[in-house]
Amino acid sequence: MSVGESVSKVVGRCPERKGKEIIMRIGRSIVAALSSIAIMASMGACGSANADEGTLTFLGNNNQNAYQGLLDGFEKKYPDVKVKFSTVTGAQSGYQETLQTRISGGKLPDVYILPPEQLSDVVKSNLAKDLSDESFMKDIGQTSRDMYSQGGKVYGMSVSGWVRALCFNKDLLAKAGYDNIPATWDEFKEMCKKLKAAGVTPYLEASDTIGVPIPAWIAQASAENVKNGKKTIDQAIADGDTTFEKAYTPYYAKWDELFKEGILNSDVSGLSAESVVSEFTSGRLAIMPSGSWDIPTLSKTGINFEYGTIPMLKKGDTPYAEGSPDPAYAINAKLSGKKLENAEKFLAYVASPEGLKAIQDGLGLATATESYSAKVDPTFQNVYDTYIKTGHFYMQFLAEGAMRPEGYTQMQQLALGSITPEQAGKNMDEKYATLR
Amino acid sequence: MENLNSFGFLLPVLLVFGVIVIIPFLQSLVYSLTDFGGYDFSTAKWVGLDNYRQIFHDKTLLSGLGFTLLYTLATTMLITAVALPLAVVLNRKFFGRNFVRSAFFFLSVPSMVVLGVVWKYILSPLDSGALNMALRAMGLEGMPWLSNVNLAQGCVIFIAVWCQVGWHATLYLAYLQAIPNDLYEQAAVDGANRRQQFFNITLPQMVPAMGVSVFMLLTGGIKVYDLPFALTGGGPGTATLTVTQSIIQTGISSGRYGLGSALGVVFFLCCCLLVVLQQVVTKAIERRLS
Repeated sequence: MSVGESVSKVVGRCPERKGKEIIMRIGRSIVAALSSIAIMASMGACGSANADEGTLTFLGNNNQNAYQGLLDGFEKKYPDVKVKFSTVTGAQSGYQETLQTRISGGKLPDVYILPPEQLSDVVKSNLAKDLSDESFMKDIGQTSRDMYSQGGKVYGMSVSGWVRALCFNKDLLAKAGYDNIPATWDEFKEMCKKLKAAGVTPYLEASDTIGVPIPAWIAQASAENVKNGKKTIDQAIADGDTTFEKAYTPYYAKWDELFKEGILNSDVSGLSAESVVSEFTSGRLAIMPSGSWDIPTLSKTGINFEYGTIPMLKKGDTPYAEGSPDPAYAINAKLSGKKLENAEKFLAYVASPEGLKAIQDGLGLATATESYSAKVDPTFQNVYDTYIKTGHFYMQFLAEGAMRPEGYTQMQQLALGSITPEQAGKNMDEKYATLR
Repeated sequence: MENLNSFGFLLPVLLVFGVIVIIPFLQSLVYSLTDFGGYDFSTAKWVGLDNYRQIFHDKTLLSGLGFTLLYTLATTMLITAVALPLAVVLNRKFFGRNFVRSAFFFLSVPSMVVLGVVWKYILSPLDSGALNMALRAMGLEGMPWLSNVNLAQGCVIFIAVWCQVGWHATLYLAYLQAIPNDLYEQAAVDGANRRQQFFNITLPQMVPAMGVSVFMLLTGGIKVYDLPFALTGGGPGTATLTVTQSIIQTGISSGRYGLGSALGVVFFLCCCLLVVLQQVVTKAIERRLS
């Protein structure tokens, strides 16, 4: 029995010829579909090969509305350049995977947003242009330049930054006789105890960013090391001069005091960020870790709030906070001629006061360069001046950031009381050994 | 000749299967033997079985494997144990039967991520969590639902059972309705009570349905990602971390495609082993009962 006859059997009443016809139709459909795919692929290839030199492709990590002000401003200033914008389904989630997919598919745009986690791989694959000596980089802060440097060259231009500081309810703090977050850790714990005695939940952290003060303390100690001609703590770990167990354990132990002294309990190991914000906006929580991203929500609630700095371990310690320059603008290293010129014009516009204002207005980012100060919400001014303006923020990027989630996992276990600070340090070393 | 014809029908499916499963699997196999970072394979170095060695020395990954197996076995057993009697009840005539059937089936309609987010609010370990508020209203103490290792694991498994049991009961219901009524009538004439009818008629007739249901639960369970990720993010600690989350975190998010691919290959082989085992056991039961 032929395939045609089989089809005839399946379709029942159809004679053999009808079965063959169906097979032929299916075959034709498959051939047509494959041909369409081939034509579309070749058209795509033609499109990129003959791309208009007056266009600039840009892959952003937020939706088009957020970038529209920046794009309009650029096109107004350079009417001969048209920006072709693309993004990741209108949200930031999955941006890294999308960038990676576009790179492996040979579709890297002219200008793209480069997250710090991908810097090393992008540079290794020669996909980002060296921006070190470009004129538009002259006002970019040193922290941002350092973050996007590899082998002494700068590959990304970050014009904004974020920090996680402490947001407090002024009315609740007043109940314990305070009007701001104290500068030192011991004073902070003292305040939390007073708040607790006054029937207020003093402080909560979310499980996915647990251990908020630890990066601040590590950054401060690293800055001291650098001042004394030594390596930063993370660099020393990366070079094998020290271990997490030796270097991080004292800071883990300090944070663990919150549990030992009854200020926090193991609930924080299972708390979502939304739950913490919800507690704060309901007026039950006095202090929570937060950044400028929460300001729009908090402003609508009627809570009398303000942002304070992370308490440091000793009086006189320079304040630092967990934070990072935002993902940077990078230029495709394969560009040349007019296309490269357009990309450089775009980055120069981004770094200009008009560009920075458009980014702040559209994307809500805290922009800062050495010649530009953003107008920030008054509740956040102190934090902006202390950390973002000075570049006093830090984020751990060992193993391209892969150690960070492991750190949160260890702190959750520490909160549960299932491991000691020393064990957390040892576990970090074990994990790092598998990722080096 | 007939086999050749059948093969002709299977060919398009095999081609698709080859393109979307076999080729990527072989690609992963090659990646797993290198330090490929996901960008430029030409710069990747051959590392032999190093990635596989790492998997079996990484506590986090092993913990993920442990919870995935626990989740798979627990949900498969609990859903089967609840869905089968539920289907028998739903097969009886009672007022509002269609509404009750729809209500149970509806639980499987929303995405697991949505359910995870909703249940996160209900099970919040704080006193303001919905369930803890209800407990306190009854004069009981609140519980650390998502911040205790055992409770968090129990919560993930409970929600998975809660939302899938209706779907599997519907599957059983379809098979139940195909059992000839004569069998029950003859059994009733012979004096068999409802319990005897269930164990001697319903259960043996339902073995093929159980095979399908268990197969889907096992394969779905071992691949689970969305519910634990939305509900607990894998925590507290690594209590509810799953293999798929580990593959994404360790392999893709941190640019270690080689390691992630090795994990994917090991995971694929585990899935195959589990499915083969399930098929062998189901066939043996079917043979014994027939």
